[in-house]
Order: sequence, then C-alpha cells, then structure tokens
Amino acid sequence: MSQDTIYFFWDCLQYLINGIAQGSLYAMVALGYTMVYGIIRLVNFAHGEFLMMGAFCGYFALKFNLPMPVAIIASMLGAGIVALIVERLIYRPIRGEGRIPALITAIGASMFFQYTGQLVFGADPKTVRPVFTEVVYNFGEVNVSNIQIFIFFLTIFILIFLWWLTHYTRIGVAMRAASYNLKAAELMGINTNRIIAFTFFLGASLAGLAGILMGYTMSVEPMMGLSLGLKAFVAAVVGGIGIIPGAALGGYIIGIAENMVSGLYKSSWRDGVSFFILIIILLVRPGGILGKNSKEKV
Amino acid sequence: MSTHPILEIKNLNTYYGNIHAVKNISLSIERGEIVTLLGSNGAGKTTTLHTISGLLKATAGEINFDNQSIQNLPAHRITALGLAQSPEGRQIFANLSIKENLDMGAYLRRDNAGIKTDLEFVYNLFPKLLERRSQLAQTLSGGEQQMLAIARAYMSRPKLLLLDEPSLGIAPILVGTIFRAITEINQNGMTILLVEQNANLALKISHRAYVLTNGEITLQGKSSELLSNPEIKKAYLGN
Repeated sequence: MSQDTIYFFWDCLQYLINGIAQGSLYAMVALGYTMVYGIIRLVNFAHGEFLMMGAFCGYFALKFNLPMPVAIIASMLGAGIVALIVERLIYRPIRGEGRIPALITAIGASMFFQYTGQLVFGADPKTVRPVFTEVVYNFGEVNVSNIQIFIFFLTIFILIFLWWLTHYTRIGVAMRAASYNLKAAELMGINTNRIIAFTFFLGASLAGLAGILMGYTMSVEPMMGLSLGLKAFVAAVVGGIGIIPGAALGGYIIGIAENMVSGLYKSSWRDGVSFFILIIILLVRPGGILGKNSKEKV
Repeated sequence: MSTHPILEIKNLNTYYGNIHAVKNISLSIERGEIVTLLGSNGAGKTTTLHTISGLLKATAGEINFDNQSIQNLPAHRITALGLAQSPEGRQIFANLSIKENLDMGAYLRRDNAGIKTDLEFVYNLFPKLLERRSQLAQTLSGGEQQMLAIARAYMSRPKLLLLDEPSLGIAPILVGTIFRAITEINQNGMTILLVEQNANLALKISHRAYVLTNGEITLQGKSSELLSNPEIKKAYLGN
C-alpha cells in the first residue's frame, strides 16, 4: 500500500471519531425531539431553543465561578424548566386543535426565544469560561480528546438510562403506553398531562446538557439552537421519529456523514449532506431507518 | 354496604361532535349487578360509556358514582375512584408486553400482595395471557386482545367495570370464553356494565338491561323478561 493510501485511511478514521463525538451531541438533542413527537405527535421546533436556554444557564453558572458539574445541572434544569413552562402555557391549551396549529405555534415559540435571547443576552457569541484543560491522546495518526471521550460515554450512559427508564420504571412504562394510546392511558388512571410534562422536561434537559457541551467546545449565542435543532430534527427523522434508538442512530449517521464529507470533500457540503440523507431516507423509507412503514393494525 | 346504587345517571346529555348522541338518559346500577346496555350501531352506547368514564364531557345531567358526582372530573381521576373501562376496539398497548399491559391496569395501586392475587385471578381466567405474558401485545389475536383488555381493566380492581362490546369482531369460539369470564368476574364480587350488540348472550348473563335507540332509553327491565319481549326479539335477536 502506498503512503497516500495509508494516510487516507488514517484520515477516515479521524473523521469517523470526530463524527461520533459530534453525532453523540446530535443524538442527545434528537432524543428529546423524538420523545415529544412519540407522545403528542408534535414536532417541537422550539426544542433547539430549550437547548440554547440551557446553554446560557450553564454559561452563567460558569461565569459566576461555579464548578462544571453544577453548570451541567444548571443547564439541564434550566432547559427542563423552560420546557415545562412552554408546555403548560403554550402547547397544552392548543393540544387537540390539530397538528398544523401546534406546528406553527412551535415555530412561533422558537422565534420568541431566539429574538428575546438576542434582546436579553445580546447577539454576540460568548465564550464559556474554560474549567478543564483539553487533553489530546494520540493513537497512531489519530487524535482523540478527553472531551470527545467524555461526550461519547455520556451519550451511551444516557441511552442505557432511557432504556432502563422506559422498561423498568412505572413512569417510563406509562410513557410508552401514553405514546401508543393517550386515551387508553388516561383510562388506566395515568395522568397523561403529567406524563407529557415529564417527557418535555426529560427531553429538554438532555438538550440543555448538549447545549452546555456544545457551548463549551464552541460558543454560546441566542441563535445556536436553530441549526443544531434542525440537524437533530433531521437525525430524529432519519432514524425514525418517535423511536428512541432511532434518534441515537440518526444522530450518529448525521454526525459521521458531516465529518466525512467536510473532511474528505468540501467543508461547505457539511450542512448539505445531512439534508441529502434526509431526502434519500424520505424517498426510500419514509418512516425512517428503524420506523415502521406499514400501517398500524387497528 | 351502602344502599345507594353504585352508579346513578340522571338526565344525561352528550354531544359527539355535532351529533346529540345521548339524549336525556337516566339509568342506575346496583352493587353486584351485571347490567346490559343494548342498542344497534350508532345508538349512543359508546358515547354513554365515554361520558361515564370521563373521555367525553356531558352537556347536561348528572353522573353519581359511589355517592360522588363525577361528571366534571378528568378520566384518570374517575379511574382512581374505582371505575374502569375496557374500551371498544380493545385499545390495548400493542407496543407493550402483555405483563406490562396488566401492570398499566394496576397503575394506581400500591398493594403488591393484592396485585399479585388479582394477576393470578386473570391468568387463571385467561391462561393464554400467562403463557404469553412476556410477548408484545401486538402478537395476540383479536380475541386474545379482548381478553387482555378485560384483564387490564380488572387489574385496577374497580368497583364498577365497564365493558364496551367485548364480543365485537371475535371468533365465535372465543366469545363463549369471554362471556364465561365476565360471569366469573361478577361472581367474584365486581359490578359490571356491559355494552353489547350480541343481545342474546348479553341478556343471558346479565340481571337487568336498558335498550338504547337513537340516543334514548326506549326499554328497560329484567334481562330474563327482555329476552322474551317481542320487540327485542324482532329488533335484536333476529326472530
């Protein structure tokens, strides 16, 4: 094998690793999208803004010299509480009015946070105070940072946690029941309003977590939720919206594809490739990779 | 034991969309009874049940359950008071295992010993459910799904069990099993309101019955007497 070929493989491996780290964050955000969609069939376009609000909570926590674990908790709680308020005040009153009004309301909520964010925090990107040093490990020609490793294992932990939650806890099984049939769940004595609120909180807190991690590696700004939210939405649809493992799979596919394409071809194609994948999936398998394409049995 | 009926409905009116589906109906159920609500398609049977269980709201009238007014409560609160419904079309959680479906039936309960006893009772009633407890409910046949829907409603240990069309679309061989199970549940002390199109079977196992026609109660009485009523024979028994 020529030297060039060997380097090509090292490069690919590097992009793959970067893609997995990036994809982990997409997966974290996509999980919230998919859980909310699964339970009330709402594409919550304000999900990216939950992420942004969480990121700002973490940013301020670090600014006031609080340690990183506190900042992470602040991000998760902050995003979760914003989601609870939005669900209670905006989504719940229009639930049952149809999907299009809900969708438009979600877009409105999203814009409200983007522009209120610019008004309150300022439009300029803010750098998060670094609290730990990035350590880069070399494996042959490939570099892996401690932050990448942390994000990867954190995502795996979250996936295991969600699987445990939805299969071995009372509220988790109730979430699955409600996502299949809200009215029947209500007949079981399940307070479905509470289950829906819990789902929003859980999904948003994961978005908040991704928000502070993104903010930490790049910067925090009021519009950060727009592109991240869109990518995560694409990831959720590619994997099969409403399906938790699908969100993770979609996140990794989008993350890896973006890094591969921008590394091996042109970085201007980074965003294009995720939408290209989306279009292909919608043409070939409209329900997503793990989605059911057959009609549900009545 | 209270002498009040477990369920008392007075002058109930409900709209289903724009349709005045339930018109001024009154009925009562005593503790320990099986009461049948008969009627053809679109007579307002399911609307009545959904109004009782809180999935639909009455526009006028009163529903008293166990000495308490319930017409303004959300469905999950009514279930908590001891009223369970096995809905029309079964509405089982196909994405959950059979055992998880039964766990959801017992969602509000904390008495693990009692849950275990009731689980044994329903497994005994429907051995198929025990056999397949760890499989997804979507793998069950229609009749087995109906058994699961009844068992799931039973698992909340309700004071009143509403059964909506338990024989609808089910293999004839399983209809007998299901009706025997309903009788057994009643003999175990549970009051039942049964909505049925299969008038013959329903009247045979119930104590009293109401006949619903175009949203109004047109006939009521002892099931044994209704079985020989010429009008009923003509309209529902096919002879």
